[in-house]
Amino acid sequence: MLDVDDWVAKKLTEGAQIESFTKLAPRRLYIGRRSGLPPVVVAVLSENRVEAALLVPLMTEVPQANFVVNIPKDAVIAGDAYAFAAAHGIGIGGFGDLGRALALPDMSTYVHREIAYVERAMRQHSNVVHFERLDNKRYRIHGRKGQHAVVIFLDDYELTADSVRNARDRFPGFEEVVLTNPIGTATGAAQDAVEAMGAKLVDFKLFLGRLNRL
Amino acid sequence: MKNAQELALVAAEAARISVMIPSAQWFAFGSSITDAPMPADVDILVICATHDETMLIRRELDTLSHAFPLHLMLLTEQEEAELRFSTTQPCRPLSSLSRTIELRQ
Repeated sequence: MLDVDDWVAKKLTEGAQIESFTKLAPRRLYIGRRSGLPPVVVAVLSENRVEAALLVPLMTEVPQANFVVNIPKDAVIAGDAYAFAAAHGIGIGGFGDLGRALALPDMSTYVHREIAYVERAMRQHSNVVHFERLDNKRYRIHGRKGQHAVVIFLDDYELTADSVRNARDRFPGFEEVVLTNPIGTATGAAQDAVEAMGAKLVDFKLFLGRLNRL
Repeated sequence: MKNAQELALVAAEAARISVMIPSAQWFAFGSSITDAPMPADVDILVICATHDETMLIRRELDTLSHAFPLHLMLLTEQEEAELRFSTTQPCRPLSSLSRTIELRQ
């Protein structure tokens, strides 16, 4: 089986995103970046679920990590992990996020463009009082009418029943499934799966309209 | 071939899982088989007869999904008939990629 640290370093090197790397310790890479950017330390995780408690030990390591990359595509990164990372000046995300964050002078400022788009839309919505990030895909949104809703954002190009059920298993508890891909569609079986869960499947435009009910 | 090592690992898992689900059809798609710059994810499509089979495949690939970013698109035959994904999107049967990988090694 591939060593996940070696895989990360190999892929970054193949993609010409870095100049050099050194393995400081298992799951810690010291990376020399291009374009005159200072070197960074990347902590490598491979967990199904990342919570703040998992990040606490990283704070005792010297030098401190600039970014935590978690490898599995369907992993849950809990809201408290994002809060913890932000409080300690660390970026966090998947491998694609790491690749994009490496281009930033301060990797802790990295935000996935879809998340930035979604959060800005919610911030600017006239009926939204505030929202909480529950994890990497779900938010609890509070409206001016005193109601709230938990929504999950899925960016599948083709939403399948397996995607819906996998999302429910990993991210339990949502009332709305929002398709963020503007050209995304859902199979009939995916629609049935959402309905069977008692949730509603909407595109982004409908999601914004439905926020007025909260 | 991009992601050759990763695709070889998926192919090995596909061969193992095919003993349990012989009718499943395995494909690679996405940047591993196109001219896109170095891909991060390995995109794998599996078409199965039933939803139960998609769940089994996802469970069986859990270990591999921790080695590199493995993006699984699991469809039933009914969903594939609706989407025609394997015929309208660039997809290559995993078995044909396995032969290419073996020849080059």
